[in-house]
Amino acid sequence: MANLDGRVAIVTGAGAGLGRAEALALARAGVRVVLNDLPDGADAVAEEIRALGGEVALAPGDVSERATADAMVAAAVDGFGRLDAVVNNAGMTRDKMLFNMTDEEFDAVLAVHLRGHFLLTRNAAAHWRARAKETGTPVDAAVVNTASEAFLVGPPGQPNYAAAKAGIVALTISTARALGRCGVRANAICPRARTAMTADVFGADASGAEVDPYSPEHVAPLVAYLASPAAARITGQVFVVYGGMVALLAAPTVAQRWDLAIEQPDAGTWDLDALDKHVGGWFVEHDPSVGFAADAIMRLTPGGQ
Amino acid sequence: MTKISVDWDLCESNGVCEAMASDVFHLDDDDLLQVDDPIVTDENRERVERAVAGCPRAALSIVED
Repeated sequence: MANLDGRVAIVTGAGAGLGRAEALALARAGVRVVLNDLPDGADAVAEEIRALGGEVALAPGDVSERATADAMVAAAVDGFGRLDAVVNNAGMTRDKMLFNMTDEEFDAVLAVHLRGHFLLTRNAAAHWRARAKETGTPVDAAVVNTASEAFLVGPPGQPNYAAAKAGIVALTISTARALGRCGVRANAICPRARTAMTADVFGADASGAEVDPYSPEHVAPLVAYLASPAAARITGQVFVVYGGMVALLAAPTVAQRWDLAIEQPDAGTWDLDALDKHVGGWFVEHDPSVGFAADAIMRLTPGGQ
Repeated sequence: MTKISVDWDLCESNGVCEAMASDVFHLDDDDLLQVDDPIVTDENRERVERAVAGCPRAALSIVED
């Protein structure tokens, strides 16, 4: 079922860490891979894949630039004759607290993550939609986006990154809805992995486990699976993945609601006193530290609860 | 005594831990992580465990001292 042989995928940020692991997993499954990273960044991974007998093309460049997205899709469609999957992975961090963050640090992180995801996905979507119209049948294609639990948690040192990742989740859901009819699936992963993205240091594994729970090797198989036709029913979903655990997130739920028609049937709109009584009154009896942030998700551990 | 240990070579001060347990961790004015009280208590254990599990750098651990 999960046969990927002969397919073509694009992986951004494929030179190291998660992107490298994802590109290798796809190549091992028989996928011809277009590798993107900053110039020269993915050359070594290309050699690794060729050494495995895989087919590979390079489309280097900054993913926040339109020309890079154009080059990646051209490398797949013109070079390999088709495009079946897009794995948006490229990213970087510029961690600062809000009051210390520069305009440039905000813009750079939003550009690489959110605009980067948009540009490539939009280009691929236009290609797939055109093909579906041409042939009169839906394509069988997949987008795998890389979000992060940061969007659920709002780390105070990563306002730019958290916002970009929230945007990627929203983009994923919109993509899934817009392209479903064309036969394109779109899902997002929130990986926990120890990679070079966030710092210059690689952490040594002190866990004693056979595969480091924070290894990208735990993430790559899910990405390859989501890119495969076996995942045909999976779209518009968000997964947390690390250390052998795959967790499917649910939609947010309503914690409480207040209806004017019930509380104040004669009033046209809420007034401040009524809001204070009803909305404010609810918070008097509830822990104010519990908000939209999905803190409980951070308790997810492999093999645990 | 049960204490929080930070691997400062791994910590990148993203503040995920502060989001989980703001009474234990905070980022200072220079964006660096400060551990306000490294002692793990019955009262803060759940929040500290969330911080440890959630650290994207795996920089936090709970140790017996």
